Amino acid sequence: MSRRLRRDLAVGVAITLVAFGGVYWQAGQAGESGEVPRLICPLH
Amino acid sequence: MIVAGCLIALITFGARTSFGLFTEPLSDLRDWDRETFAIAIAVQNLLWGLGQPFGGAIADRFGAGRVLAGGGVVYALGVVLMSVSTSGTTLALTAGVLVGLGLSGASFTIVIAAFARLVPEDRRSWAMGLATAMGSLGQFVFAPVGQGFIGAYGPATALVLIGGLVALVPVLAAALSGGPSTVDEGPRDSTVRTVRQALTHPSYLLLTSGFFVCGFHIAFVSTHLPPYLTDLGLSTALAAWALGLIGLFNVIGAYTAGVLGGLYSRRLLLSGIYASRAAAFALFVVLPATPVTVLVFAALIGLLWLSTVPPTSGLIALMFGTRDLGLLFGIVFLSHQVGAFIGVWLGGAVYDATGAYDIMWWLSILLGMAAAIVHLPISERPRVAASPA
Repeated sequence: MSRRLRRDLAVGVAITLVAFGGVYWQAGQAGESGEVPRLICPLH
Repeated sequence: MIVAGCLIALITFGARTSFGLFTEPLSDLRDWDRETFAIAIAVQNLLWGLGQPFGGAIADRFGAGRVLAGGGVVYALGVVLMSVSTSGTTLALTAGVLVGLGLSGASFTIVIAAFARLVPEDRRSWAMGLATAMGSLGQFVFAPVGQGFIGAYGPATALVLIGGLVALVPVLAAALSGGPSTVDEGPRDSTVRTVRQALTHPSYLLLTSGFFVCGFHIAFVSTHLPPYLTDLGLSTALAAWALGLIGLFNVIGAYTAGVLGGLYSRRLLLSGIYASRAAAFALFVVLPATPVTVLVFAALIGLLWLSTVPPTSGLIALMFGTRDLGLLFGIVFLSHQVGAFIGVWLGGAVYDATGAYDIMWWLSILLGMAAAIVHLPISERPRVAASPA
């Protein structure tokens, strides 16, 4: 694996970890309120 | 420059997705019905889609930094003034007109066009994927922040604070400042001629039609999946997890598509994405709906969600160069938004008429297969410029 690909992979992992934290929070909110938060796509 | 562009994508999209959190508290505060908020957001979507080609064209001519800064100011103003909007009309003017126009100037399409011009060609696809992923990540950052602001200060003050965060966009835009493309791509055509040339280029039209399908798919799923699941007797908590998983895997898919777009054929990548969507829809409809199949579907469709953006924008840059990318990607984006509108509207109309979503799922499969096919003949090389008339 090239150095560049390793760096790209590290960036991807970092972004994914932040997103995972967000999903965890979102699911927690849904559990508390019983509603489905409409936070899904930045385009709509 | 990359960091600033990614932060702009994150802030502009994140702030916008946080609006959903304000629907209930702001409507309660102002004694509005849901339609009042919905109309304002519909106006916003419409103006954003219609304004994007113009925002892109201005960025191409005068530099992305200036357009991002101007758009950021208008966007921030719209969010702040939402807090003092007391009627449906003023909300439509602030959340609808101002934020919609602001997004036309300060959104990831302009950032992507700027990246295409500013980063080396071999890193272009990666940068486009990163910008798309960071925009998608914005929802996960801004949702807790917006909810925290609402809980601590109430919805009106929370909007002012969100507007303050959006006001960082003009500051960040300084890193993307500078004039239009400096790459020598020959004499510049007029905007009308550029659009005419693009709209008579078969590959551009095929790409535009494919992105229409993308909008149709994701808007239909994001709007109608939760009621579809609850109709099947599945819980709202499962629907929430499904939406969360789509969002999570969307970030992964968009970034991965950017990396892959730099290594492999973009048209084949797009064809594979749309074919995979059709397969995922088909399996979802045919297999019994259980929590496991729902979550697996959500993960799969999330991977394929905005993964279309980096190869689509990359192909436009390849065909037409980067000089008019803002304009040309803006037009393709408008097609996406039209598809999104039809996906949402038709989903509701079909459900009202038949009491089920079956027709919509099968239509989504057919459109996915059609999109997979239309990307195959796309010419993955620079357009041969016609001699001036």
